[in-house]
Amino acid sequence: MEQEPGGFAEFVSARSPALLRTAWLLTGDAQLAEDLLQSALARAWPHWSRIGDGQPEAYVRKIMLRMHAASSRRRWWRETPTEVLPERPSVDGHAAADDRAVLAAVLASLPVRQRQVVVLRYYDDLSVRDVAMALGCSVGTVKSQAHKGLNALRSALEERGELSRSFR
Amino acid sequence: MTADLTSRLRRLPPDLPTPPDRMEQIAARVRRRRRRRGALMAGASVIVLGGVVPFILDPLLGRDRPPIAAEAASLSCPREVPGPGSWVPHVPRGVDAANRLVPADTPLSAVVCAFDSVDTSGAVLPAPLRGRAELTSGLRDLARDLAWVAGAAHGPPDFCSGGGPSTTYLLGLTYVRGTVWVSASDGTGCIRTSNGAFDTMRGLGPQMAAALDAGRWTGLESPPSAQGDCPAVGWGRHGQESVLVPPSPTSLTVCRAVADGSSAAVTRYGAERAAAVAKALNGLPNDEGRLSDQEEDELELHFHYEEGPDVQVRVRGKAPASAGNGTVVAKDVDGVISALLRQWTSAR
Repeated sequence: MEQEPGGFAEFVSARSPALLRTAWLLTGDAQLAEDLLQSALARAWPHWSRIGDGQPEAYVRKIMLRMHAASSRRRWWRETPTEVLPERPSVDGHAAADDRAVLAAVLASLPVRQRQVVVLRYYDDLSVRDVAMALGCSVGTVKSQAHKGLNALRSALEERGELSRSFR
Repeated sequence: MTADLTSRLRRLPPDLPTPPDRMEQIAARVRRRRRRRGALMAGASVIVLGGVVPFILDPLLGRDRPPIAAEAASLSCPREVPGPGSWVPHVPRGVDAANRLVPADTPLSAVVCAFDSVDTSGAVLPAPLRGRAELTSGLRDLARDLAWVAGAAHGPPDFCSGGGPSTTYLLGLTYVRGTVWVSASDGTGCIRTSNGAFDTMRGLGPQMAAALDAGRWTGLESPPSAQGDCPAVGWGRHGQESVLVPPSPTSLTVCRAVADGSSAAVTRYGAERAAAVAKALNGLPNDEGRLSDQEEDELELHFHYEEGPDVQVRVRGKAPASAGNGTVVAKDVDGVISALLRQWTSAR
């Protein structure tokens, strides 16, 4: 195997789980998330000597976001937005998993930029400024997209009567 | 309400498995990206060099346009080779490699193919492909190493121990304008390394095996005592298969054997005197035989060049002495060379 740059393997080992979860929230699919993560890491590899000592996670995340946006435009990920969300889950032993499925479907239905903002702001817990830097947009855009994204999530879940239920 | 949403969002991702070979998969993606980039560069080069530049220059120079045969991607290994021997899929195409093992230009891509070992003393059977590796680095060194390899003299090899197991390798190189295949063997020395048009007796099997394992060109093995003023010359220099001293040496180091078997520099001459010695040696009659292994070297003449490896000419025996570079042997050396060297040595 080609020798990886110094510190790269350690970074992959340490930060891949978190980046993979972000990728999953963006793509909604485990295989696509792994593909997106690996693609981003492969693009970071040649520049590692320059970025390894800085903020490599922010760099890799930024690559992931750009690739995700570009591939969504090309429908690379075979996303099929739908207006019909999964059936409302029944209250039984599978309710928690069903809750996740509903929320994931609602998240996937958001426009790409809104979805990215919501994931970075409310899952990765980045500041508005860091989200703006990651996405290459203004702070105002982040705020407006976050507001719209949350409202869309809330509306979709309220329509299904999901939001009032506590998450198990 | 926002807190509830955020909380649910943070619990959303499922347990995601970690592939055990994630690093290998990432490395493979890096290699694929580099290959694609190489192909794109080659494509751009073809458009510029093969299309635009000749389109402008050729009419001005009054020449016909050459065929463009760019193959930027790595070559595909044949599924089998006919058996042990210097077989290549085709002679060099689109590049000038009839007088050298490979062009001096850095190839765009290189692939090493290894075929199952066969017994050269047995029936000659097709040997199936056993493995392949695309070389991802060291291509400039590969060109530098192989472009200067000395050619083979006519006639049978000097050292050939007969049959035995032998692995055949093919090295496939792509250039902007063409391709070159080189066959090599790690066998008994009976099989020439060849590109189909140019042969060398230098066995490149170990280098091919090392490149196959490493995925990069690891270089030629350095001969023992490769350092110092009088280094051993292991791989020779292109051109010394036809003339004792190839043209345009830039300096000459005269060495004499010392008691421990090594050599010590006696004196060093510049380009003018190096050229004079070379001219004198090349003007001597060739000897069809080989230098005697029974006699110790009287002198070693190390010719240095601006580019590429040195040439080592050994002068052996008392009068009449002969001199050889490992391939070409000249006789009646005493009178000419000894007189020159004595004259210059006494003049110092």
